[in-house]
Amino acid sequence: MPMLAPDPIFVLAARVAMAGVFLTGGLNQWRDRAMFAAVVEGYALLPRILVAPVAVLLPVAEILTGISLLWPPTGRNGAMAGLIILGAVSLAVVINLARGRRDIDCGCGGASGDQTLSWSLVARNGVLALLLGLGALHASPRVLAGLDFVIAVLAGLAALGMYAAANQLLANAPRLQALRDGLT
Amino acid sequence: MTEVLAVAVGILAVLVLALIAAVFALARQVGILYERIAPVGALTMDAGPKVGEQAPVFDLVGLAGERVEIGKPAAVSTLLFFLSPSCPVCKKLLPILKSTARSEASWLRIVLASDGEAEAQRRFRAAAGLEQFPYLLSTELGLGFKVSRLPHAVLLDEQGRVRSKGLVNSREQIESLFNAKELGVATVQEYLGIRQGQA
Repeated sequence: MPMLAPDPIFVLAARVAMAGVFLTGGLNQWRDRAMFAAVVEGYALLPRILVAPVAVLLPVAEILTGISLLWPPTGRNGAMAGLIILGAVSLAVVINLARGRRDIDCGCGGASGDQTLSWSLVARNGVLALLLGLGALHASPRVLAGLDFVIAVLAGLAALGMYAAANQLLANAPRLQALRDGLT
Repeated sequence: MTEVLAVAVGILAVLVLALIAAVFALARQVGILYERIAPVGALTMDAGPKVGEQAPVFDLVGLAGERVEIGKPAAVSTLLFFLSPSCPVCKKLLPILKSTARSEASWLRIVLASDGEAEAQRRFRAAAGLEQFPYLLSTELGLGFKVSRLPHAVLLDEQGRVRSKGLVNSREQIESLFNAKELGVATVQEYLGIRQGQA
């Protein structure tokens, strides 16, 4: 029995929420993959020959991760795969922040289209990583009733909604800053 | 007892989801407001050739091999639009540029300008469907007009004089450049200043 074994409902809810995050993000990037290639290039981290494959593989990996999070037998592996993807893209963001390139397109997909890089974005990814960590835990062995699943899905949806709102606020932040700069 | 709890949880869940939806909608509306109330017109930087001055002359070759003259007398006015594939706001303005090119075709040609690696720019140009515009890659051009932040637009008249210029973030700001040319004032800020002075 592992030391940290939360009630299964927390694990389920975390997986539902993160499946939503990866599926919306991945599908958005896939739909707009020609532009996403330009975004990947904008990060200026990969040799040119790798840009196009990565721009296709990343959305595919995100969509697969999202699907595997929803299916209970693969949920745990999905959560770990998600941690790897999230870690990799966060590292790309941190490197570019350290280079001082905050005006490039984040390419985060999801709810908003035109997000730039910021440390808040890294913090947001930190919260997502915590949720993924929760989704990767072995739950305590409690038999789930029907209502448990309903609550897990509702909680997951609530977390997803908060993610969308947080994303929108992150996208607003540079515009507010521009307004403030304009007024001084 | 459990039935009461289940009902209570159900009601709470609906309320929570509705509230989150409301927060999201509010955040979106705030974002739209920020965009709308932002600078009255294109924000003008002091650097570079001033409004009314002759623009520096460039004779360049575009990505598709097209020859483009900047700053020389021409049949129509020129909107020089400085952009970069990695700039999110530029991307948002591309559809607006395309519709502007159609609606203002009688008196205006739009020229895109960027710098950096040609191969990446070519892919960006194809991905964004910008083949209709001349696309220049020239660091000297950006330096000549002292472009510091993107997306930046410069409107040149038929004689190659700068008529208006500035940092543009929205359709309104692009149109403000045209208004500034029609009204014969350097910037919309200046126009508002004149009106306030008269009042």
